[in-house]
Amino acid sequence: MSIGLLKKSFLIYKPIFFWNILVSILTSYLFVLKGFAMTDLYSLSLFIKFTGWVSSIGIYFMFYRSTAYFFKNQGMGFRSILRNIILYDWIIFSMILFFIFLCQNFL
Amino acid sequence: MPELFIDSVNHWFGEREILSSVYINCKIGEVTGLLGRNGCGKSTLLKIIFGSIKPNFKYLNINDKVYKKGYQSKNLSYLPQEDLVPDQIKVSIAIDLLCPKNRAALLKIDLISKYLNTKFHELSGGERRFIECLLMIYSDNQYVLLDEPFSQLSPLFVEELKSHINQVKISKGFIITDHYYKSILGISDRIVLLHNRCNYAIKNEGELVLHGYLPGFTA
Repeated sequence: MSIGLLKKSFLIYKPIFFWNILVSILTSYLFVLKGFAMTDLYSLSLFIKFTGWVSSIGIYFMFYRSTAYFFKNQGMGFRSILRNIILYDWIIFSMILFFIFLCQNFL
Repeated sequence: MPELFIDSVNHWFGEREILSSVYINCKIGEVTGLLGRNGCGKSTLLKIIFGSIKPNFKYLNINDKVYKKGYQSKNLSYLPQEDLVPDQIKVSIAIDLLCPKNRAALLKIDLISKYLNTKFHELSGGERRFIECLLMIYSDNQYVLLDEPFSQLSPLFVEELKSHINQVKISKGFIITDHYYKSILGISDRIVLLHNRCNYAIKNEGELVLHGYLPGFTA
């Protein structure tokens, strides 16, 4: 996990980052709607987040063929990029959730 | 002495054996030319060294360290036959990512300074290939694999590329393959021919005729 790798990944995989942030905001919105109290909403939000990740892996594969040598020339393989994309998304998702719960009373 | 070598390479495509106990090496300060007919496994061998293809067996050693995939050494650059840099990347960004230490040297090249803020998809095929070749030649890594660097290039660009390789080879090792065999013969310190799934050290052009790479052999 490094900021350098994040910058390099972001250059090429902007759509994946934006897609994941959109899904994270939607998921967090469902949590705000008392997702924890309503099991079905809670399950739905987690399902949406999981589907978002599956879609982002699909988008990643679409880009991967044309970018594999570019990244490998920088010493980065398929797994390290995918691992980092999901890791950073998890961090962003946690931050959005934390921020929303912090400000829940004001929303 | 720092060296890249790959030994005992065996690779099969289905039932067909492509490479059998192939060995190739490359030392710093040296250009190794790799020749062979179409389909003999030149590109496959380079991809195996880089780590894009997993062979049935190989032993890869870079600077006295064994690697499963060459790119994991972070000391190996590879120019594939297809486009290297994604379309939406600007030339300046590609330089920052692939050859930050040699940025100053690259900026002295006219074509690079002219297209510094241009995205790769806006370049012509030849210009794109030329710039991608330069990015690999001036990359920060010690070893460079070039797969058909001269294809699509005008004679002027070919000569310029050769002079750049000669300039930087003091601190780098190159393995180059191309069908412009005269360019390869001119620039290489050693020639290796892939033929009948094996590697042969070539000493002169006559041996290329003898091994059936060049026409003219009569039994």
